[in-house]
Amino acid sequence: MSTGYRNLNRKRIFVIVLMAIVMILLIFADLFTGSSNMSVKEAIDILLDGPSNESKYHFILWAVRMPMTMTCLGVGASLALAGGQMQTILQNPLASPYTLGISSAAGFGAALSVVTGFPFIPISWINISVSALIFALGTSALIFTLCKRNADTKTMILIGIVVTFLFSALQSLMQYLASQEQLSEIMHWMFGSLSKASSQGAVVCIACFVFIFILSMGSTWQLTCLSAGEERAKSLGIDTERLRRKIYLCSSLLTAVSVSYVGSIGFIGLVAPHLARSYVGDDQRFLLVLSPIMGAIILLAASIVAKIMKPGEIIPVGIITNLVGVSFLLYLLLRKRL
Amino acid sequence: MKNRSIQRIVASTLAFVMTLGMCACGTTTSEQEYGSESASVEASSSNSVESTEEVLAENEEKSEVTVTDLAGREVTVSLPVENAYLGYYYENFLAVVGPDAFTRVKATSLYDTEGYANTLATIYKENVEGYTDMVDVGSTLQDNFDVEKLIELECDVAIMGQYQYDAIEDKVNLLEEAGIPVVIIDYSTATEETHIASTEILGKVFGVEDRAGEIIENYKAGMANVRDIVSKISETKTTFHEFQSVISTYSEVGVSDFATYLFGRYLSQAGADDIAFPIAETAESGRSTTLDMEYILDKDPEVWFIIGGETANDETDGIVMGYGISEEDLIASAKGMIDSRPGFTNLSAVKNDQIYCVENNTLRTLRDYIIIEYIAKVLYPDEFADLDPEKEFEEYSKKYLPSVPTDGTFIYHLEVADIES
Repeated sequence: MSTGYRNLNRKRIFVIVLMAIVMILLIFADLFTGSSNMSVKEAIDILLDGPSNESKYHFILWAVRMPMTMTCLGVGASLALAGGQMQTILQNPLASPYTLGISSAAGFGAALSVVTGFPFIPISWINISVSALIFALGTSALIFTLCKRNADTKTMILIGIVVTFLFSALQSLMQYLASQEQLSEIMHWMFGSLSKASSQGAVVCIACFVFIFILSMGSTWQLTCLSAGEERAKSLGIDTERLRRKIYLCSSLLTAVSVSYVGSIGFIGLVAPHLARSYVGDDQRFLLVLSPIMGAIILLAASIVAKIMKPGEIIPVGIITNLVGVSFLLYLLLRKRL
Repeated sequence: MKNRSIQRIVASTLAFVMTLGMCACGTTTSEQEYGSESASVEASSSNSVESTEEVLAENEEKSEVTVTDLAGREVTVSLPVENAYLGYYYENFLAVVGPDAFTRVKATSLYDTEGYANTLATIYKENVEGYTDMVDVGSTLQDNFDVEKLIELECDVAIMGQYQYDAIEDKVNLLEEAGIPVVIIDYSTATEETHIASTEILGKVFGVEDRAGEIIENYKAGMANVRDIVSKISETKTTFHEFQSVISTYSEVGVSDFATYLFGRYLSQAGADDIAFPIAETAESGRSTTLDMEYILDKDPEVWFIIGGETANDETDGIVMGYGISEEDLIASAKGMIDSRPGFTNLSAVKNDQIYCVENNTLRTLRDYIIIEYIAKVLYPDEFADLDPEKEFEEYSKKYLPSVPTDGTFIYHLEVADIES
């Protein structure tokens, strides 16, 4: 191994460790931020005390803030990992977890549930998430089946466009049928928000991420070859179509779980992998680790901004990530033109 | 070179992120930003140093009440309630609990009322004691309901509407775990049963059962009277109704409710045969619909009801009504309405001068039985000749809403000649 390569890898590991520290600091910053008048010192004491209902601030930190912070961590990491994988398998820098229409399908599922109560579970607040998950996973399975014969990038992207249009139309139909209150609920679900965060949801999201992350780490070599080009990967003996289908399944599962839980939080899956790539390049051993960290950092930062923008209210975090994402997308496009 | 510039941008972004994080830590320690909220929190914490005897004496005085709320949940609330959260239904709350009702409300979701009825909110701000002291904790309608703030305020009880419960049922459990009982009421479904049950709950929770009982009797009597007379009428009249709060120009048609929801239910109770009702039988779902212009012309309704309100302004068409609105203002806002809708001049309702306006904020209230009386009187003037809805509105306001001025237009017969261009 050459010294240059060893130094490069050392630098990459250094960046990953640095970003992990930033992420941990932001986790604490997010836990210490909120509309109540709990000071940072109080929050640290309560954190050290562990979960209890001793005082209202114990309850606020452990039962209100902690699930939201853990959700940021799980969802941010999931969307970033899914986005990075999508960009690699579709060989398109503008791909995101939502490119293949999973978000539109989940959106329709949520709207259907708001208007009709589908899937009619007695605990009504679970209905929206379950319905969104059913449609997101169903659509993933449909796309997977359609791509079985031909899993090249163009076919996948075109199928994604068709699916997006189909579910957008169905969602418009639901919005037309909805009452004013229902319409407002659908619109806010589409923004993406952490207000639905719960400890159970956060655990599911983080567990799903960890499982897919470990699974994906087994394919880092193949993915690195694929990111160097389809022909090159094939010449190295990689079954690119099989790899694409496997990674597609992983990323769609991550996306489906995240979207059905917190709504369509945009641009994390697009921006985070690019940020990570600018530090560690296309080597998937490092990219797959840094992308989720970047995703969590962005979502945690957006969550903090959402909490402090208007004291006493929480701005839906999806609005903040969209604002940041649009600027970054514009930067990418301009850079390409230049 | 490119990589370096990207890294610089990334580094600046992260520095920005970190700064925001640090700012965020700073805001939590600042107590001044929250103004009156922090004052109230300090007050509550100072209470904790009361002597043991005082606390014991207070506990002896305290009692409990258990109610079954509109979501079918049994909820126990400690009495007396002096620091409540009230989500919506301000008018009903003021009518049931009395003129000082809002001095017992510590937190609310302002958007739910002010977002749709700003003039009404201004009237309350100027005339209702305690209204301006309420702390806003965000709204489920904007998806920014702040559970953390509500827990910190340590309210005795949270009175929420059914629509709020539907939106944040999981957070309701969290509030109850934090020691804030949540009671669900519902005046939006607009049935006699839900109105009465919600009023009984308010009476019990706020210790005003006599006043609540009186209002319930008043409501029951009004409804029974309409029901008795309508049951004897064999013929029905066709109506068309629309909520103009959702249109931006008169060339659009507003939303019509089906017979099981809000104004549709009022019409049904008053013996009307609305042209939107048959649609419900074939509609996939929903409580309302927007009728096709051609369908309206084909059905040729005999009476046209318009639900107007505050959403209309200089930029947006729609009938203006409500507090502080004169009849002249209302007529001016309706100019050009019929001309904007091709063929409407041929409708029986227009030809026979049968256009009536009702104010949106009076729906969902405990005086909506007067709206039903008004609809019934419009449809069957001979049978309901003894009723005088305008007078009843005034009497109700003076008796149960004495702190709120009565000036305004809430029901109105719009004459075609007045609005012809």
